[in-house]
Amino acid sequence: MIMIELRELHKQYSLPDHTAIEALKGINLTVKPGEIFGIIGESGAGKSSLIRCVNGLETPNAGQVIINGQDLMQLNKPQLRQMRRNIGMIFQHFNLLSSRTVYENIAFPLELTKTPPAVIAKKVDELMALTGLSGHQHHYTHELSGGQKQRVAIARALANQPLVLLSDEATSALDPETTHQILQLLKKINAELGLTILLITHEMGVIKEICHRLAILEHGNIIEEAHVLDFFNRPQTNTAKRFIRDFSLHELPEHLRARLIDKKIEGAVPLWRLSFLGDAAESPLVTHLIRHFSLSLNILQARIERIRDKTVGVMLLEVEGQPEDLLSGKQYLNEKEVHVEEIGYVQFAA
Amino acid sequence: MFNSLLSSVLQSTLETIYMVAISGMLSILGGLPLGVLLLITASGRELSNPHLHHALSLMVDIGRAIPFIILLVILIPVTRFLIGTAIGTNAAIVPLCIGAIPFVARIVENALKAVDAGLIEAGHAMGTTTFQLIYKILIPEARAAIIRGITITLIGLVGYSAMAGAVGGGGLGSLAINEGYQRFNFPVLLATVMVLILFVYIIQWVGDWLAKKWEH
Repeated sequence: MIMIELRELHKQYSLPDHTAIEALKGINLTVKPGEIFGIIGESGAGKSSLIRCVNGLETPNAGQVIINGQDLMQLNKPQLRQMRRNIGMIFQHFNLLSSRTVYENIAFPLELTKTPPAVIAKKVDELMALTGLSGHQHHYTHELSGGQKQRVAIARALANQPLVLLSDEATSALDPETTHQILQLLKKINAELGLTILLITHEMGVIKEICHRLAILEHGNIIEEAHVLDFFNRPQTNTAKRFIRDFSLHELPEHLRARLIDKKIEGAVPLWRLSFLGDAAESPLVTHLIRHFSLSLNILQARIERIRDKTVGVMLLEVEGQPEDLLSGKQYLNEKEVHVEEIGYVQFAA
Repeated sequence: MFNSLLSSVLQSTLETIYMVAISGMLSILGGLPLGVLLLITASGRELSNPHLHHALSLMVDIGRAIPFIILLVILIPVTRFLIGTAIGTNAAIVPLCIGAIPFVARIVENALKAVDAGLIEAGHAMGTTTFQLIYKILIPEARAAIIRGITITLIGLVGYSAMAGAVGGGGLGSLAINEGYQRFNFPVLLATVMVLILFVYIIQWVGDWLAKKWEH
């Protein structure tokens, strides 16, 4: 079973000076029903073009977009409109109608299909309860906070009981706490309604919190695709490693980040990021490293993270020792199925 | 003496209200679709048709370029054909509409153009038809801006209707010129000007109130 399939998708834009930009260079991707699939990439990687090809807002130059067995390229305009009603979409800037109340915004897609008012009323009430908006039906959108706006947008996107929800940077304009709440709502909808979600983001935190699988998009190509847990423990490409490194550094306290440097210089000590699944945490790794490899360790941070409901241990260590000891220490950790990433060097004040 | 002054000012006021109301309504009825058409026929828009767009655009600009007093004169045959006469309040409505429609069209086009592209994208994503996009998204979202523009047009029409009155259109303009100016009847001149000021004030007030009410 496949819900979304992209085959050899190409998209080009021509600039005013007649040069062409290739936004997507042959994308192949499948998303299963009920899956939350995340696409992460820097700005300009082609994320926006990709997600807009999935509901036909952009027409690819070549390739196929197949939603629930239906090839989008084979549809005429009315059929495409019909298909879009099965694909909900939410946006970074919410895109709610300011001339309408919360209730009327959620009712909008139902009005388009000439749904009877009584049916609309019942459906909108359900959706407001599901998204935690009850009591706000008469408010206009300018009276709402960012998080509430995105809830309205989510309710609106769900009104026609879509097969797929597309999320275009839906949390990028929100603060961390609101982001968390919106992601939890998406997760709940995914679990309760079995809705397939395809999201694009530039934030690793979003991927970590709700995605089952992810793909990294770089310069119009998918360069890595993995289950989220595998990705965090065994990233393959340099871009993936960089994403994870930036993400871990982002979580470091300010005073430590200030001391961090990229390159190894005289007197600088490597900083290791260790990550491991539940089991490895049982053996006394740190003690072993100190005793058997004559390394001296300074634990900067040690915590248990939840990645998509799984427990992952993460430790940041300053490691001082002879190069050969560092190497065998790393080997030892790999044998214990602990992933080690050298994310930088720490320089001490002279 | 005072009574006859009052009754002629009242009579002319009603004529002006009649001319402005009817020509205002017809200008909106004509200008709104024309403005929408200007918007959606532009290249890259929903009913992209550059030739039609340029033809409409040229027509609208010519309409706006011709001074109203000239328009009054060159439209006399058209007015005779439509109304049967070129004199009187009904006859004045024809040039008033022809003069105002291009303004309303541009005002509507600009107001619709200012609607956030994200809303249009959301509309497409939800599967709106072009018609639904226009009357359920574009016009409601732009209504405050459209109202502000129409307010300006109506105030313009008050002034134009006075000008039309000067060449036989009736209303406050004709009273001011024929009675007040040419017969040196200063009280009439003053009264008509006062009424016109009140007109403009009321239209502006209602326009602001509506625009504010619809602006969220």
